[in-house]
Amino acid sequence: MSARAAAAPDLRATYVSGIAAAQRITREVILTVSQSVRPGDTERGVCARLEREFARAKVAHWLHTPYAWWGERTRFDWRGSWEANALPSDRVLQEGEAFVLDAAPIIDGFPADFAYSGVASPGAEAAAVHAALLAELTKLKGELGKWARDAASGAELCARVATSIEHAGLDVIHTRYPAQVLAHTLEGFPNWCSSAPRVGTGFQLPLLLTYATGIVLHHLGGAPYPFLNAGAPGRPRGLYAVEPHLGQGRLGAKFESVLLVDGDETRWLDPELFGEVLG
Amino acid sequence: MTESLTKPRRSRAPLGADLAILVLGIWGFLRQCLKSWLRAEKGPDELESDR
Repeated sequence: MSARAAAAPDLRATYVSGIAAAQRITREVILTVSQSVRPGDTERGVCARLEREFARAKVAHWLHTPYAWWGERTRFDWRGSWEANALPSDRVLQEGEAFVLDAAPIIDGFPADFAYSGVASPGAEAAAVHAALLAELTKLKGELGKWARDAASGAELCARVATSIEHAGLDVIHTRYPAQVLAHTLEGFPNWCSSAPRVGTGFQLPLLLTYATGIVLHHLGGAPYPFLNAGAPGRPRGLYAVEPHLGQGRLGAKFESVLLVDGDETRWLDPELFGEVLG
Repeated sequence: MTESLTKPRRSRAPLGADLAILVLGIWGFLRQCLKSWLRAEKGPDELESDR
């Protein structure tokens, strides 16, 4: 995180190119596997397919291993620890149910974090509701860049996003993530822990240690805060994995993309919803 | 003495909330490790053959 505090233009350009390359691979893997998701698949089975594809891309380190959530689990309505409940389960995908795939590998030392939302059978009745959620996400993505540029603080940006979702008559789901994050920084990699060995499934040591270090350095040394959440001070600056997540009824949907907020330059590395990573 | 009409802008996130993030994060990570290890009887190859 110390590198991030002093992010010079050259360093930021290095981050942008490294993260964009990692994000391209991650998007390709997730979109490829998403095409193969069918009713009858389990979350664990699809995560195994994602892991196999990432292994082909020689991924060995992770912020978090792949997640897959089906149906009502796309809303995170569970009780108790998010980390344990979010692990891929043996839940079977039913006809017409929504699903979310989300993975964050570290590729050549740079982190990626990409998520895709889909429906098991596009012709199903629930598909219309899901399409409306995706339309709202598209609109949100278009506006969020401008809001991030103008926000006086990360907290203000998060409040604006939540208000927009609520005004559309939808539920805000991203506040149910650990640390209630709308976004987390992707800067400061590679760092001292980015090659830490894998431990089981889910969140991995590079994520836990990087953000714990970031929080400590923020409070002790005034380093930039690593999250955008309801308590985030200061104007958003740098590269963030932004993951607005909204819901309606039994459905949840999200995207996760990288946003660069850097003085005059505020842009998504992938401007379209689930679209190509331009860098 | 004149009171400032502008609300001071925070330079730090709330410490209590961040301590909670750290404690809950470590707790959640340990629970996740325990759960994923207990369920590790099926490897990715075996799951793949479910299809």
